[in-house]
Amino acid sequence: MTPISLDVILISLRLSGLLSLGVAYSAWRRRPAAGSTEFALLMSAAAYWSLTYAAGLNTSGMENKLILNQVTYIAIAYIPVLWLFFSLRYTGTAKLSRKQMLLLLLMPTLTTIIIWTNNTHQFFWSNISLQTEGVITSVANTRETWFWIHTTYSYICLITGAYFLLRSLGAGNSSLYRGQAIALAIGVFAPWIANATYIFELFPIRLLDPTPFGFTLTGLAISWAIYRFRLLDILPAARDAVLASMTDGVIVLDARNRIVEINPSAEKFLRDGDSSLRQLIGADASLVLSQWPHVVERFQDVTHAYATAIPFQVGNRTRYVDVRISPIRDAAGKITGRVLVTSDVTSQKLTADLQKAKETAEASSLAKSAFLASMSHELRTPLNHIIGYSELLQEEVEANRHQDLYRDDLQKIHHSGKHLLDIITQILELARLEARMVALNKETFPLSDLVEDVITQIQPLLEKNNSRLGLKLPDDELQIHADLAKTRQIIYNVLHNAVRFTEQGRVDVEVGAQGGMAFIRVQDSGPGIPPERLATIFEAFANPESASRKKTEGLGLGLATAQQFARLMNGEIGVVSKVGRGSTFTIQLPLGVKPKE
Amino acid sequence: MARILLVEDNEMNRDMLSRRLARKGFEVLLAVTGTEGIEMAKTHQPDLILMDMSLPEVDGWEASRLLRADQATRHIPIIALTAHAMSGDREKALQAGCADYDTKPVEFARLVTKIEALLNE
Repeated sequence: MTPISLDVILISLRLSGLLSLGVAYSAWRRRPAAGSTEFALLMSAAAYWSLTYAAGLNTSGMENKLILNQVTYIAIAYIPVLWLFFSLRYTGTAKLSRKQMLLLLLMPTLTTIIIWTNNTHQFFWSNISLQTEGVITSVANTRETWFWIHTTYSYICLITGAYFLLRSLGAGNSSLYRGQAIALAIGVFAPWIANATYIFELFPIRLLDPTPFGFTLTGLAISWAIYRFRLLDILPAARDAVLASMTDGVIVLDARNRIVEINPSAEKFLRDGDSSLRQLIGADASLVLSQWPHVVERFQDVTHAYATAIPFQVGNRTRYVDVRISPIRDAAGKITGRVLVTSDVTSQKLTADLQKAKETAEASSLAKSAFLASMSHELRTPLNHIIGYSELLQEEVEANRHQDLYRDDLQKIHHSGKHLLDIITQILELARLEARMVALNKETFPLSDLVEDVITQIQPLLEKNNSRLGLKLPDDELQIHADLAKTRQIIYNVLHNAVRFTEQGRVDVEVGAQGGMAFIRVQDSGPGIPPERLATIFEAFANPESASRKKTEGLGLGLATAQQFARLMNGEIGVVSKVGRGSTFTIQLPLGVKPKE
Repeated sequence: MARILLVEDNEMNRDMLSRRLARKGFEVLLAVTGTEGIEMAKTHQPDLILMDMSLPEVDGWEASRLLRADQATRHIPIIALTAHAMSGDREKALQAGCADYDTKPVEFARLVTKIEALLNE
């Protein structure tokens, strides 16, 4: 074997140093990525090792060689710890505190000091001399205690670092990352092998330490992994955490449609759909998805897709899923697999559907009310004519004072017309309320006066039914800020209702205030309201006059209208009733005067 | 005898109301549109105007404003008649210069009370 010239060795070492520097520089530029700074420092140290080692080999004379040997050893002492730092940081295993880092750096610092003071104590080396073998002249020595302490410590650091790196690779557990795994394995083991061959004197070129080459190889392999797979773009631990915590499902398929990666969200979805599924990694995707043939058929060979709200029958309900498919390409651009990202949009879809239904219902309800409002108006006009002309005829009949018979009949027509008009007026009022065509015209007024006024209005009916009315007003005048006409209508409707159903009884009206609300309580000794009717007492059309309440004509819209009006003014009407005992209606309206403008 | 101008586009309402007013002893003048109403108010100088608010062409609100703005007609009291009582109609009518306001269907007795009150002022 032709001996290799010193020049070749020196050039190789310098080249190795420059390569390491280059790797260090490119890692330094990516400092924001976790582990980059540590990696840059590691590779700087490796470059330093190569270059100072070359300088040491190139120099002559015992003194120079010894000093350069000590200079080189600074890198040798620190590199294992830097390697450990890189591994811990990059894999996200641990974020070391400043104190912990200084503690770990204590050993190499001690080693450096011991080497530089070796002359006085010879803890590291003894019997130092120069030896030459072939083209290499190097420092020879006997290794003493601290050398082995240093070596043990270095290996512990290297092994620990390697362990975490390899473990993070293992966690990926995917053929997609094979290239990356190989590169990292080379990165991990190259310096070890090189160093071991040196320590155990197995390297072909005697006296040459090949470890710097090993570290350069580490740098190249790891940075290749970085550039090729963008390893430093995202912490693998963080990437796994992201994948695991994503509510979206992620499935990676290889070229043969086998699952090579699946996140918990996707896995749960698949298992909800088919609890008999076993191992998913490595399984054929079309088999795993066989319960949804429409999906398999649609996406079998699709490499680019975005489909929304695909229905999936899961158990006994349908879930809607957005599916996005993107290709995975190798360096040559050939498609080697696919990534499926799925997001469950069931609730959004259901909400949207509900919203749509609600809007439709509201629109049709508004349309209905608007129709009713205009329809009622159309009905009223001819009815007004019927009433008006019958009144006119009555007047004429009365003027002539002859045809009494006509007069009775005319009165009947007139009465029916008026009744029909009342009904239509009430419907119109409600319809306008529901069609939101009613505006409030608020003013501040004393409540007691209004109540007394309405009672005067109701007096004839009270007398007709032979009932008595008791009134209790507050000592202080109660002012409320509301629509006067509508408040009057509310009180009238409630009071009219009470008096109408109370024959030879009592109706007690009390006006007062409680908790910021004015109240008007109307208590009657009437027949009371059965529970099944009480529930719908304020609903329009829900209370047709029943046969048992043969009472006077009425459509049962009065209370519904009153309640609608009360609510429009932030008030409420409540009712308590017991059959045979009577009913108590309580109108509540906000107290207060007109707000200052 | 008091002279009343009834401005009303609905034929039956016009006929019915005018006959009943006539029976009560009023002299009734009739106009169908707002424009016609203004014209007749100027030429015939009625003692009172009953004005329907939903008229074709110039509506009752506008006609009332015009009548109030005109020196020749501003003294004539106007009673506004609206088809259905929208809240604010009363204020709107008073703002337009009407002396009073009533809703249709006309309750004849009540309307006559209002007319007489205004005529006696």
